[in-house]
Amino acid sequence: MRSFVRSSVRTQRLNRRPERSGGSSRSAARRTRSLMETARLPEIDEVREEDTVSILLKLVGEICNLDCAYCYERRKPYAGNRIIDPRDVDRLVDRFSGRPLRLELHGGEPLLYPIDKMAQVVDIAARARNVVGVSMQTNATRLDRTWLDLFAPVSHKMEIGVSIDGPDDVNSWRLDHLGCSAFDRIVAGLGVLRDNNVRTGLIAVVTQKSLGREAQILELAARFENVRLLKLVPCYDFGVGQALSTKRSPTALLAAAKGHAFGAAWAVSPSAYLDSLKRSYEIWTARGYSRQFVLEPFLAVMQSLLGLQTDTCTYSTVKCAHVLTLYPDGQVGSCDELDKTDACYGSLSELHDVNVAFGGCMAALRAEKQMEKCASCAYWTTCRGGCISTRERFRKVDREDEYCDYRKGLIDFVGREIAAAEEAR
Amino acid sequence: MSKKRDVKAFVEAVKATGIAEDLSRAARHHSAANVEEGDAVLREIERANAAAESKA
Repeated sequence: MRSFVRSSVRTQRLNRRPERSGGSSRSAARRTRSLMETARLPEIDEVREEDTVSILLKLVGEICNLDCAYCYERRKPYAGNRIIDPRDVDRLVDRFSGRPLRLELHGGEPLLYPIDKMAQVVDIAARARNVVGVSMQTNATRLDRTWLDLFAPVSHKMEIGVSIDGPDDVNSWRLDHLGCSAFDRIVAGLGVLRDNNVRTGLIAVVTQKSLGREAQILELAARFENVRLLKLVPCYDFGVGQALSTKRSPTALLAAAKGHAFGAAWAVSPSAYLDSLKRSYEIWTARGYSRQFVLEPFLAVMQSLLGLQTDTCTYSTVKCAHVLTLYPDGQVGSCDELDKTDACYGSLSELHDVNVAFGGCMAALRAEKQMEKCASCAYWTTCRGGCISTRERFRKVDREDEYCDYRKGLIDFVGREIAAAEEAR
Repeated sequence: MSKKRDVKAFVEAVKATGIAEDLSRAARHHSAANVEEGDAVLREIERANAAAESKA
């Protein structure tokens, strides 16, 4: 097994690592050897017994009622029109019955999953005591009271995230298969959540159309008092291709044909994303929105700067090894952001130990290589290297420094804000 | 409330609701909306504000 296992010096010093009941002297020796081999290398963490593992359920694969121009799921080679068998979910939950799990209902659009099968998945999540959380990322266009009732057995441990990039013109990379705007349907879904007092998070992809429109994006979030979090995620699409197996709408293909210096027409550079984040932060704090909803990635950066644990993997050493993805064909892999061929563990029956599985895949080797650069970086203890997949994309085109510069810039910005706040009376 | 006081309240709430590194560990996907985590911070701000008001 390669030495992705991070028996970090800091962790060892704090001596907080509990004894692993299943741990053998061999694995202890392996960890020690890893430490010796890579004593100066910050690396991503192994999965401890008490750690929560997130399981992404690609319930319907890439199938979606929208055809967002930038959708990475629709660029993947799927076997086509297959959906997850709920019995596979049951097997996976049972396989890891000894550890906490979080099920993430994902797609494609998860609400295209047949309602009777979704009821079975909900039943599994409700019954399994080790399932500590359920979350769903949806475009909300199909969300109604029937769905909310179906999720009632897990509502106490469920989070719903809705994807919306901003007002209609900012959100306009997100069209249906006829090229029609999805905005009104998404807002209607948000209304259902508001009317039923469901605390909700929004994910807004920062594209070219978002730049300079930060006020309108935050205003949209503020319209819904049930929205407790707005997460701004960058669209770093350059060198992207199309999967030959997935049908795309003419509008999506036309959008893909356009481009600019950085990449696809919707892509933003790291420095443009950083500038947009700073503008968003100013608006968020100046208008009192910080009392209404949390703005990410600022929470994650603050947690990291304050020496606190963050669940956001891009600012944590808890990364891809802690994420499993179940695909409709029964295959299991690490995080779906990683190239599937780099991070596929094989069929569910072959998966027994997540550390061994991740350690044996190509993604771990890449992570190890990437982290060499981070070893001597002054920002490591806050930055934690970012996303393995994103960094790899930048590294391939020799633009990794741009990724590092934006992260350092954001950390410096948040650091100054914390310092200024602590001086305030 | 001024911007600085808002930021200060937010930072204090992050500290109050935070968990020391290495004690609670989970990785959330980039597309996950960490509502629970965010909600805890907002509730702490509300609690602190209410406490300050009642004190005054």
